[in-house]
Amino acid sequence: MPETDLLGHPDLRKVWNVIESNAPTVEWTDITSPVGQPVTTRRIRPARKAVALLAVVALVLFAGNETVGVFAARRALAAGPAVAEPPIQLQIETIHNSKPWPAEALRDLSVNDNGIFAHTATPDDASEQWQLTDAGWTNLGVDASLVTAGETVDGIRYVAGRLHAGEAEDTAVILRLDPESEDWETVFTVTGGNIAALINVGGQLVAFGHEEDYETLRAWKSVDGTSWTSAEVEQSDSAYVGSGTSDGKVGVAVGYQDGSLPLIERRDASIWLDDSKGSTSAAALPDLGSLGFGYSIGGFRIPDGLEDVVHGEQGFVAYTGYLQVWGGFEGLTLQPREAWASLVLRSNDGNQWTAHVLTDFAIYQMVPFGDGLLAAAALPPDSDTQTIEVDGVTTEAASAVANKLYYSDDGLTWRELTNSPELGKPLLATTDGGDVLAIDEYSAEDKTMNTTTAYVILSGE
Amino acid sequence: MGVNDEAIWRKHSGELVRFASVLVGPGDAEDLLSSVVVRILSSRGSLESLDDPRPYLFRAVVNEAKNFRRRSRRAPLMTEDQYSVELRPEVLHAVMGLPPQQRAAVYLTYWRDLPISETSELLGCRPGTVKRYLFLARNRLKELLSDA
Repeated sequence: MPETDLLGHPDLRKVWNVIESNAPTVEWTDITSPVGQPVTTRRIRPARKAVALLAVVALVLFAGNETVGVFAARRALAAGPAVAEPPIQLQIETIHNSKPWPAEALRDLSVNDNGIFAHTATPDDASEQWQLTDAGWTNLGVDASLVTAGETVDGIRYVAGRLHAGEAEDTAVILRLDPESEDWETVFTVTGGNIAALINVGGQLVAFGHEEDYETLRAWKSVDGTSWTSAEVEQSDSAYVGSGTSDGKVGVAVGYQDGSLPLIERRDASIWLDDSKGSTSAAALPDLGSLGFGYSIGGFRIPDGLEDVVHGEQGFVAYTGYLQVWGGFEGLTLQPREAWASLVLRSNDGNQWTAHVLTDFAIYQMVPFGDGLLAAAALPPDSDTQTIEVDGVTTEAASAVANKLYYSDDGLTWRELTNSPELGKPLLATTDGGDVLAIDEYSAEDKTMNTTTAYVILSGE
Repeated sequence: MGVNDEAIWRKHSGELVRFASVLVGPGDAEDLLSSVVVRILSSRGSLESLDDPRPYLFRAVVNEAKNFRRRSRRAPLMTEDQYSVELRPEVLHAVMGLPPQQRAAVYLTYWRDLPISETSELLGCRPGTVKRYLFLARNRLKELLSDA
């Protein structure tokens, strides 16, 4: 790396030096053999609350504008919070229950006219493809043309099949799943760059990413999923995670994703699709600082930025990763808290957006479901640690995060789905008919149970 | 657990705990490594079958850090008594405010001086993804460091 590069700045080198200087020393006796000895213990620090309390003060005082919002008093919400309604039961059909691949290997799920396909990671990080048939999961083998497992941009459906984007070696690629042969073919490559998003705008396709210099956002367009040409795009730092409208006329919602507060923009799709230099307008976002979290003082940040934008009957619904929230009084005592919450942004036209806080759970995937939406969300564990047994030795480990499914008509009010099979961390995919296919890989902390359940959540009456 | 696992852990524990400190802060690094050990022992049993366990261990730390962030009510990443007055607090805060993958990419590439290809191997992502992390981190820190 060149010495003049900003990331080699002396101030940054001081930071790394300080972190390393403060790193603890870990002796093997802390990580002893399970033969007759505790494997490891996860210490619970009584002083943690007090230290975290100091963090509240430090963060409120020193927080940078780019990552943290600060609210000084609880205010009436302009947009109102997204709320959880009474639970709901939907019609669910379990397709298959088995243990086809090693625990925690599932990376991707797709469904098309030819069946249901899962992609799993191998121990050396290659990708294996599986197809679900009447006989169960069939291993189609390692697909050499497919990008590394876990590094694909979520695939999109289009009129003649399905596309995935990702990176193979030092090349970003778009892969097309041939609906007839079920073979993947590489249809577009960008040497040294990346492809951050694929969107379908009324049947036309746009890919966003960077070329090798990583300085300029690029866009490419296609009408058939096979031939791609460069498209006009404005200089922007944005990572596009947006969704196109079905008629291709209204616009495209795009988002900024770098750990800061999300920036939503509305762009006329014609700006890419027909080079007409269509209009671009920064969408009006509500003042996130005015959002209430039920606390009277504190701050928040969104470490993972904007996760995705979904377009459906309700318009555009965008959601962030989980929120960190600090602050709040309990009686006369200021308490630090880390909220499990998501920020949902909703818009009818991609221009005017309202923000809503989903409290108590953090969405990690949202997909269209009939006329509504389904979301998989994580809930906090009941405690910091739990006792598990490994090879006959009892030890403490971090508690597992609970996951649940939620249904919403409008993206604002959410109802817990109470009749889903045992939840590990389900992956969701919408079928052509508007149903949702879910594959749930459930693995108990002690590994005594490891199952994969495939089921369909039906959207009809 | 294999007979050589202790030697493997001894060989890599120093750089792993420093890397864990970058991801979750020095105060939680030991807890993070403990969780990694539990997970590996319970799922894999031994590291002996791996030709080169180092990338596997680094990726295990990265993956555990993602989970760790979500389920742990953490201590602050760094407290004031852990750094000298020569350090600009706003720079430390900005670095710790980077998403973990960006922070790890900058640390490995610019402080550990690893080539992009090795950084990508340790983070379990493609070289282009590392470049993107660096690009985004550069943008996030540009204004702050340009003022220095």
